[in-house]
Amino acid sequence: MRRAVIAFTAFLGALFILLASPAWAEGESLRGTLQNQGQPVNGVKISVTSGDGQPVGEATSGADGKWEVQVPAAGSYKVTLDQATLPAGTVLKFKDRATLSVQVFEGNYRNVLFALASGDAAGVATPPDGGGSSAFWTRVAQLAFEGLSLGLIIALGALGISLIFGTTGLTNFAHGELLTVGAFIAFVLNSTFGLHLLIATPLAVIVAAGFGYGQERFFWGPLRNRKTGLVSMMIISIGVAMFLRYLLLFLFGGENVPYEQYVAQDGIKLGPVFTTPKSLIAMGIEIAVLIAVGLALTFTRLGKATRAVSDNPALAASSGINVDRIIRIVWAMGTAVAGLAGIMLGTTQILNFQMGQQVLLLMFAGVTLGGLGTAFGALVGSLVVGMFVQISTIWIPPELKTVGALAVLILVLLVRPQGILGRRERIG
Amino acid sequence: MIRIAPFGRVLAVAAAASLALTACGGGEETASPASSAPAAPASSAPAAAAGDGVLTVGALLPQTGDLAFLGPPEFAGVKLAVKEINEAGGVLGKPVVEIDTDSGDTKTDIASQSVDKLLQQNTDVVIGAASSGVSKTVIDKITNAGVVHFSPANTSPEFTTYADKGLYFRTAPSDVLQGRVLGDLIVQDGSDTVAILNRQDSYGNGLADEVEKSVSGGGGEIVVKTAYDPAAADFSADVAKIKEANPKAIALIAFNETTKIIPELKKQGLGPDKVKIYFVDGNLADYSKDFPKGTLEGIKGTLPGAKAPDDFRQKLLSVDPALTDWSYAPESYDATVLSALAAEAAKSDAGTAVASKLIDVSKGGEKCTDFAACLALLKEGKDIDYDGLSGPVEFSDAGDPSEATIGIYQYDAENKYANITYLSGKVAG
Repeated sequence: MRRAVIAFTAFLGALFILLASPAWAEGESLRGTLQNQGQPVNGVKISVTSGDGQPVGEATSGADGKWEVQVPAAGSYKVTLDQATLPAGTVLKFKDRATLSVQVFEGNYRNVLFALASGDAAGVATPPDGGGSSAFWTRVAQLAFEGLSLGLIIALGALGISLIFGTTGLTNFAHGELLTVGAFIAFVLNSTFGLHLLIATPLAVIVAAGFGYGQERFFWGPLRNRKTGLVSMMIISIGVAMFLRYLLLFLFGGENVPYEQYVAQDGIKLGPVFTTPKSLIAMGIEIAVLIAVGLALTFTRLGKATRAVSDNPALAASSGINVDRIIRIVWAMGTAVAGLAGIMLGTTQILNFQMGQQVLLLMFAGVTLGGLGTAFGALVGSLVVGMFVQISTIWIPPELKTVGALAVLILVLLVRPQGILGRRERIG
Repeated sequence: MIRIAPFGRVLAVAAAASLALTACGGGEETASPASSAPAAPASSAPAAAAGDGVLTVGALLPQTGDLAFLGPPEFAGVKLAVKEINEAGGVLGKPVVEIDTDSGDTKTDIASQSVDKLLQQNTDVVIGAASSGVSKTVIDKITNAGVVHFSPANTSPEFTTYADKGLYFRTAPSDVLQGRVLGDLIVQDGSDTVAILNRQDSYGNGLADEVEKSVSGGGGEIVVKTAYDPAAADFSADVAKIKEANPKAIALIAFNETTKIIPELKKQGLGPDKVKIYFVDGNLADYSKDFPKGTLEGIKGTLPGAKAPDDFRQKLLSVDPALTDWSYAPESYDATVLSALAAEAAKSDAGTAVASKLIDVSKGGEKCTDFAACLALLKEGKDIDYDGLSGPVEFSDAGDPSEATIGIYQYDAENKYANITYLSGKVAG
């Protein structure tokens, strides 16, 4: 052979091993390998004509299914597979593609593929898999599951936003960064100090709670005592968000980093849905935390006090509730839960200094949709947003998925301005 | 007290509005790029357009963002070139000044601020950016200032025809070639149903189109082609869409999001052990620290550029001992050397003058392969043809390399990639 030897073996998804090939730039050719379900197909005649119909050459596939036809120069060629020479039981997958027009470039060989399938003598290819509608429903189930998974993470974050808004009136734009901070605290414990993620997570949540408490004690609290306006505080929170985000960028760099454990787990199949063990455990933890917070808000003294402050701080104060203390606890809890959400997001996805910012919009959508300032509204709203983000990709291109969620937000608020669970507020 | 109804709503609206604002203006001055070289001493000299006698090379390369992994080898390439040029006596008798800035990525606005900074410091040639998407956001600003925009890594086909006033050049080949090679590789591996998952940007869409052309031209079928939003919180919906189409091969045209997408593919039963996965220059990197052993085994990928010779690697390591990747280092080196040679040939460091000679020094003349030798030839008044480390570097009239080499790589069990073969081809075909 004029050209260098290229040997490759590839059966049933096995790897290709190319031995040697300084081959390009030595003349042009057309070539290919005929296979049916991984098995080579031999004795099939392939003919090549130039663009204007002049015959150029013929080849018959060998025992390894390979064929090759030299062509005189770069240009457009027509490659035809003689279907009569196909062995019994093998047909072209697409019957109208027995002839292909192929462009050969200067100095290069060009691979040509004829897709083969098993079929009967009449030439009707039997479809290799179940068919379209079951694949569609599998996808719907998968998306619903993903929606739940995303919704739960958003709900954890949204809970903090909602409680802080309820008790202080502050719309905290730095809340996305609280997720990121929590995730990176766990990262430091996990990779710098070498603690297993299962130990690092509770520690990080505690540190995050301390961070939230400190933020309120030394930053937001004093600002509020100085009677800083809510709009000013909101703008300040945007500044805090940027500060934290780029501090993390400075400390940890801009690349995606994983935790040490549970990276790239193999999928497991639950009915129609693919998931990973870590996602299931993360979802379990999220549900448990959400239920615990919900019960605490409903039944404990602290929870009742929180809701009282949320309803009317002045009245709560006059009935003996220490409003400042409640607000500090809300900050600590909100940040802890946000940190947990960040760790869960980091485990199931990956860590990045922008990870919180990427879900901030969805958290706000969840909070607003559910009703500003209502903890349970935030939960419901977040699940709706999460589901909608994922399921809407059946109809809209996936790159627009966030848009779909925000469209729902607008529609719901047009009909029900107070949100799904929000109460219409009294004026006067 | 606080809960007055209209106020809550105003807050919500303001919240939404300012969220949009932060989203756009996100990337303020943080990650402030460190200038490795002091500003040109003669910064009070005349405007850059006329040339101030000092060739100032501004590196606009990723220190942060999706392509941050490409930054170190590219910076090292530029630094090494500047070092060698200055050791050979500099350009027009004066040492070349290098200013390093961060290009960030398309999600942030860092690049545009970096360009402002470079232009203020009388930069004559901007080397960058790595991402085609980023280059597209700053190309007008750079070329309108009469400064050469020279990318070592942009591969989007769009730039070939972009109205760049003749000031845009690149040492990386257009994705027309990479797409053709990748598509051919997929067809060669026998996959008749192929999915393409690509970034929604100038680079991703451009390369996806070329791969599609090549695969369907060779007899394969693209069953699904999905663009994704790089800033998405997760990619499960995107992967579910591909899963539904049940492809035999997936071309993953991504940047650093790969570390999020691969686990998702594995989760939904589309891991490299089940389907054939192909990477491109945007995500062909060393993932030995990111994934457990064996995660990427068998994945193949394409990367423009010839093999970086071992002694070149050694020299790069002397500039940056921490280097582990070599992607686009030769291209960055060549871009810097070519700019210096063009400035020398034009006897001016002004951007427009450099641009007018760049095509000249890249082809047609006496061959030379390093700055010192080329400079000697130029001083003798000869026409030169610089053959660089990244290839013969023959510029077409549009400022693209007209022929190039594409390497084909495969991942091993350590999640590192090794070369299988190099293929050369002409971009126009």
